Amino acid sequence: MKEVPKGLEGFKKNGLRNMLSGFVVSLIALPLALGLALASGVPPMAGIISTIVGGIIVSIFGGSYVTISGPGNGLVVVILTSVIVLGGGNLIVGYAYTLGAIVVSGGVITLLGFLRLGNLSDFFPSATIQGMLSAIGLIIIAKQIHVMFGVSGVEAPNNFMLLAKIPTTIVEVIRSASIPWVALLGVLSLGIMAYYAKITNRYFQAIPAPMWIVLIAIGFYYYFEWFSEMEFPIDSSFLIQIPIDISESFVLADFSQWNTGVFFTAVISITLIASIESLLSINAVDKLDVYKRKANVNKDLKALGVSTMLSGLIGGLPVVVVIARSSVNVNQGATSRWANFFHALFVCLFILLFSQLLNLIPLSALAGILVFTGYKLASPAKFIQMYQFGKDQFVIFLVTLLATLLFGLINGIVIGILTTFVIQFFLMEDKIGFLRKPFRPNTLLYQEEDGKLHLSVKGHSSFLNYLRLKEKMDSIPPGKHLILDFSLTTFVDNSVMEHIHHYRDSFEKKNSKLEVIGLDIHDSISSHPFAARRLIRLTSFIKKGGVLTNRQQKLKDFSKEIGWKFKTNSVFKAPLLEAFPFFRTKTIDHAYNVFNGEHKEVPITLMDVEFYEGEFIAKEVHKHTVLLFSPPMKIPRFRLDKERIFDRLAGMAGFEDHDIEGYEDFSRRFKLQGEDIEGIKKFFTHEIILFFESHPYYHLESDGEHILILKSQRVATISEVKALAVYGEELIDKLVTSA
Amino acid sequence: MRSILERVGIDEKITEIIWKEGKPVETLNKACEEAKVDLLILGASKNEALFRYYIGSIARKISRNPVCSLLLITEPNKKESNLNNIVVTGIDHIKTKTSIKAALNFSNQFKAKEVTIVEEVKPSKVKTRIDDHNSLREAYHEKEELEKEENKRIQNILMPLQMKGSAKISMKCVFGKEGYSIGHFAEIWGADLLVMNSPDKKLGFLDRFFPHDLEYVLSDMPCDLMIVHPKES
Repeated sequence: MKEVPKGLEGFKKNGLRNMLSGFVVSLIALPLALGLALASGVPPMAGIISTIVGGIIVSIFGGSYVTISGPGNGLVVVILTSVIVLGGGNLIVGYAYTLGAIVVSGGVITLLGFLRLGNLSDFFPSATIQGMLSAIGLIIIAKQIHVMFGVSGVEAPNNFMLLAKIPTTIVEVIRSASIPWVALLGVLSLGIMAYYAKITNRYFQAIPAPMWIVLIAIGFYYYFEWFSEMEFPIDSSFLIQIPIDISESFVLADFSQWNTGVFFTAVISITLIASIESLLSINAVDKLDVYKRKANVNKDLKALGVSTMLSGLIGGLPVVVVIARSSVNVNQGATSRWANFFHALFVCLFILLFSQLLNLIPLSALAGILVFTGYKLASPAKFIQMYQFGKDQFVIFLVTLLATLLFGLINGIVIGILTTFVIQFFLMEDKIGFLRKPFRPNTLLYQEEDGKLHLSVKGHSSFLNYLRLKEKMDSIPPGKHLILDFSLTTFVDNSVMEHIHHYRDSFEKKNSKLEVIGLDIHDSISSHPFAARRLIRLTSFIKKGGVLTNRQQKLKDFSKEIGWKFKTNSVFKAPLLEAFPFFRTKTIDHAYNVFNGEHKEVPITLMDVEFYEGEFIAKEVHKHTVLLFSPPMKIPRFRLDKERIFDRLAGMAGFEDHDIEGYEDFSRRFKLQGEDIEGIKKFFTHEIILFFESHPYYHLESDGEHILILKSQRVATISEVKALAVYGEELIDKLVTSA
Repeated sequence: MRSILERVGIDEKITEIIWKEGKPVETLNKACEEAKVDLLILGASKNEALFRYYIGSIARKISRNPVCSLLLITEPNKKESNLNNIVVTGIDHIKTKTSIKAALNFSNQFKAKEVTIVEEVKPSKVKTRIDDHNSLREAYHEKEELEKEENKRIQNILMPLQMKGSAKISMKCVFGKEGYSIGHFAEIWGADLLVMNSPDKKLGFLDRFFPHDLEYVLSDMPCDLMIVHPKES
């Protein structure tokens, strides 16, 4: 990890770069802040206050590095609802009451930070969060599309009706007698947002899309002012209104509604959405950081809470960490919180210097920007993706989405969680086991002898107990090799699979390694890699080319690399294996993930074997990865194992450990057993012994015709499979040359 | 009864058979106290049905408040030669020494190949809270230090015990919930016998709803379980 210069020295080195990226972000932040505030039903300056307060406070006291804070799009719906409900229809009164709720929820968020609840967002199943976000997107579209077309005062009893009125609005615009300039600017604004990324012109890309919209809108005014004989065709009621005297835009919070239920609901909704949006964004931005730093989430929550309180006190929106602006920040080369600070500073400058110019921007242009953000949250691609995750996920997603549209955010997410719970319960095999211990510990982390960390998960692994798994995953320092073992699980849900996927990504970026094992015998709900997995009963276990697990996919890739055949199908009879002393007391159930290869004309088989010891209640299931080949000469029956200290003592007492004369080191380190002493002495030639001495330990067995090689007590990881294959090939080389 | 004994091949001269009537749990406990029993062997099922679990079976009832050391056999079919892999608690507790001693004696008797002493450490013992990349490294370092201390502590217990026999003795330091972690470990490790300390106080009904320590293992037995109850206490 590179060291990052800190403090003033860091500012000297990277200050300019951060200032520049702060500037670019401010170009986006300014129009967005205005738009988000308007969409929330509050004066445009509320968004600006939130940006400036948030940018400055969070950049000084926050715990993340390259994030940008300010008003967030997730909160638009919550704020709008509470302004309408608290004010009883009067937007100005509702605004002051809502500010009270914002201040209180800022306090709650600060408290969450002190209580170290920065992992709160990980509790929610991912499909419900997606459903909620898409619902927010649809609501934003429903409200803003009418504004975009310049038709004000469209009202409907619920969000569905509002969406249903879109065609009427469009017809109204087309039928209007004069040229609908407002609507044209709105649609142009949406077009710029949508096609900005497709235009590759260098000069065009130098200015971010929202700023283009602002510039075009202002240019539009001056066209009429300077070049056209016509009057400026847009009435001032369709334009932004920022008070010329900035001090007028500060509104004080009103707490007089504190004892009402609606106020309470507003506080909970703001807290919930603000913290979820912030936490999701912080985690996402963490992965973008070039210095691979890990953000202090709880410290960030405290800073966000404090700045939300301050912002609310003087009339601003809640402060959250925002993903879109943050990722622009990273792309512009930001390295420290200075960028966030400068972005706030530039927004402040713009307002002080250009507030009159900003008053020339039509509302419809900003609405166009918002419709696009809404579209991104609820795009058809998102629906398709959720469907690909599996039907179970799609149902949860749709239920949450509809419930949020009909009954509001909090009810929506509660219904979503309940649905997830019910669906998972029906998908589960071990229902009673789940009921008995839904919240019990289910993880174990320990270090294996070779320094790798082994994290085993047991029983059901779902959003309910994911935080335990997360705690363990988060305690792994960079540069470590983690084996995540799901072999004792009966059910792994989609949320966990998705989190693991993200972890794999961040592990790789931090020079760590994450290998997931033990999911090969689980059935997946859909073909998507994030699909939930459940353990199939062994009797019904016949997998015909189904979905490959990550491990199987990698095994397949490896098989192509070395030109071996690879089949995931189970082989139920393995008579060859049963002949080995190792399996004598064990019952082989089936072999799977079978490689068939050849080296120097010697056929090799490599496979995962599942076997029992004992029967019925005493049954214990084990899984090993083994390599089997038949050398081209006659070999004695023998067993070769790592010699342990006490084996040596036992050997002195006359137990059957054969020492080969002249090879002290070999005799000391290996335990060699077998009846055919002459044959063994003949077989263990100088080359062969040298080979064993110079390679890592494996357990070797011969049944007189075949040699069986295996190592650990569990299914091998990909790297171990590769090592095993290479070991086998090298041993064959040696045997062929010595024969 | 006699015919069973003969079939298994138990010498009647050194075996005493006591017949008693009464409620099983109390009677067994009483008989054990009267006869100054060292080890009580009981059969127990691995997982109990929901209702049974909360009401409690005989084996579980006795293990929740033992008067002597117990051996709960879950796998009666297993041959004794299969007793290869023993896992024993290494938790920081006075009773641990006795448990380790018992485990080592057992391993010698049955020629076990491996004895693993599992030191369960409460995660709260690690003082550094993981917040960012720096504290993450610090916390890991602290864990390693704790692990060294723990291993030292166990080694101090092992030193005076004369280690004879063929078992390979190793130590594993696990950070996690006490009682739960060792059960999970025994399951992964493929242990044949798990040796635990007896509970400090009687485990009641509520402990089954809010399980801790031994209760985790009792609710989901990974293998045969020996509960060592020190005589002195």
